[in-house]
Amino acid sequence: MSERSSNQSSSWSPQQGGSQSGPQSGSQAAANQYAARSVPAAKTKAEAPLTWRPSQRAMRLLTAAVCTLVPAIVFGAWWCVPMAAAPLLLLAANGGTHPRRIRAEVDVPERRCFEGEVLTATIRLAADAAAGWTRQEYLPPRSRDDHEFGAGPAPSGVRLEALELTGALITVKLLVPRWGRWSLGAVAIDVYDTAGMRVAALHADLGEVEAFPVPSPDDTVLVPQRFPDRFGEHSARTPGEGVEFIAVRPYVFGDRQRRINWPATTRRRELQVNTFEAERATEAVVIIDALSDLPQPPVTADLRPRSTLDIAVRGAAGLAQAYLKAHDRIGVVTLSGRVQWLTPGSGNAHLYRIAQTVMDLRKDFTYETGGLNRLPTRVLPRGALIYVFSPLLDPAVVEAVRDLADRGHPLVVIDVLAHEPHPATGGKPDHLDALALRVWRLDRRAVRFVLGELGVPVVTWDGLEPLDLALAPLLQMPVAGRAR
Amino acid sequence: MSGQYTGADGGGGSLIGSRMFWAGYGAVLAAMGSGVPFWDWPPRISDVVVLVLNVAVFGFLAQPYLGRPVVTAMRAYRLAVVHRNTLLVGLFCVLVAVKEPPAWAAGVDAVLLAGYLLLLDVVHIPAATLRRLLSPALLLGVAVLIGGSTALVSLPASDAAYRPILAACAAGAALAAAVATGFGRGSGRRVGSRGTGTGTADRQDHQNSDRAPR
Repeated sequence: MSERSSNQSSSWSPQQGGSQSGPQSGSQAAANQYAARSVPAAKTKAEAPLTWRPSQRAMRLLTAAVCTLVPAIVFGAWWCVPMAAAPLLLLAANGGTHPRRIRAEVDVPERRCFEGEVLTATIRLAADAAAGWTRQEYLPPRSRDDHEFGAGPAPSGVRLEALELTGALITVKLLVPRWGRWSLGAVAIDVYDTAGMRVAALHADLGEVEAFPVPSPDDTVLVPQRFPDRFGEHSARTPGEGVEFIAVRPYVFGDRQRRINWPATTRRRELQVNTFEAERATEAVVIIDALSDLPQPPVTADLRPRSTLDIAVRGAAGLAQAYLKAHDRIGVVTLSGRVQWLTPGSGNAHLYRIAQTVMDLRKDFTYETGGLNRLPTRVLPRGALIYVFSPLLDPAVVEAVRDLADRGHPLVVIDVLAHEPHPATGGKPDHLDALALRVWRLDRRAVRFVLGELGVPVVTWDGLEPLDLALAPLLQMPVAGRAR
Repeated sequence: MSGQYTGADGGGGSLIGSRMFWAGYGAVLAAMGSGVPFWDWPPRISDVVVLVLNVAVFGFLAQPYLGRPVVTAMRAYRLAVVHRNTLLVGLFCVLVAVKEPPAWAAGVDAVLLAGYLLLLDVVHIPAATLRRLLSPALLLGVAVLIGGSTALVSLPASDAAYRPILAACAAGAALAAAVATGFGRGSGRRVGSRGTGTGTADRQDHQNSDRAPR
């Protein structure tokens, strides 16, 4: 973390990079900058004892030779002798040589990237003698490290873009379309001897990658009604040492002379001093609901995978970026099977800590009861503004929101489920589908009613438009919590 | 196994990259193996049925397998798919051995089998290595050997007097091939190999190369 802390100037988002042309260019630069400073080039060596076995060519030739010579010699089928000529000659013509040791050196220069970026891995082969040729195949992580996800496609969606061969160097280009900590898969390399009669297989594991979410564009920073006692950039409605003028008051001993308001002093014939608003930093906590994750319909403008959890994490990253840019403190709590948290902090490095906290959300299959009651006090500071990104599908989230509201926290719920479900039959909706949809709508309306009764504002955000637009109605006044 | 596979180009867009070509080659092998050229006309229904069956099976088995020689499950079907080319070679030899053909047909069978084996090499082996492995001298040797052995079996007296000689020649050739295969790779198993060092000087490019061992 010390290395990351020293990297305060590194930018996170493409928006900070100043380029609006595409979401990847700036983020790639930021990730490269971050990776170059903090992560050494990752190299792994795959050196296992080689087992040479007959190749398919050798098996073909041997089969042909045996299947012709046995009838010819044993059963007197003399007409098989000409057929034995070619395989015998091909078997005997080339004496194949092969190396005794082969080393595959995997080099993935960047183990961290942003989602949607292409990683390049190289595999350098070295041997102690000549070999014939190699053939290689990319093995996606589906059937390997991500086996817990079953036979379906891995949620990482790591996709092979190119597998190129240049001399003894194999270059693998992989697209990481979704945030998370994923396995990159492996490359199986078949090395043949110089005659193509024997083959040995190497397995070069490409390791793991951390793909950071691309933050959604957001510049809105909501503030609570009451600020904690920390210096910051927000004007609090209490007298202090800020720059926003509040009123004038009579001079008391100890006031600074430069604060004297001379026109008011002249009018009132006694010394009057200006009073200003205090400047305070706010504290916010983002709660990400990972208890339910529903895929969302893809859009042409954004080729990244979309689900409620993806939208929530990208929105949380955007929000965290906006708060950290304003030098505020922000923390994160993830509600999945296991409650994870990160205490509020500030600085650019904190953004990476937040991203790494949510990195393994999709691999968490545990379930622990207790919810937010198990959180330490410092994770949810008193008066901290709390954002809840949730599709509002799990009753546990509603209970958590109720619990937080009872504690007096100012709350904002961001509903990331912006699309209604479609009938799974794929055909024309019948009356049962319509009835199910109606029940679903009533259920969601009931959830929103409960939250409204708690005094918690709920905004809907589909992840496509900037988060600013969704939060704009809440900018009218500071968000207030319930009186305790 | 899924995933992209690189190595030999598998014939690319040329004739040997066509599935129809290989299906046709399999059909020719099936026809020769079933003895169609020396059928009695009109053929019997059973012969036709066997021929159709052979054509279907050989047409499938003749397709070159381009993936890695690994199976995802030890099922007979999976094994047959991965080793289909080897299976075709064995089936063709057995089919020919079952029924005695004329001498010229034995020569044609030998040419077809050699052609199939060489064409598979063209598909599987990179071009640079292929030029070294299948040199013109070797191809000429294959042609001479097939021609010579066919001529030998087509001699009038081969029914009786030359049979022991043919069998002896075949056994000798097999022994020679075994000896050459077994002892011809001594250079690859030299004693005192330098092993795989850590320095770059120790590294040797063996990718698609045919350098002599140092």
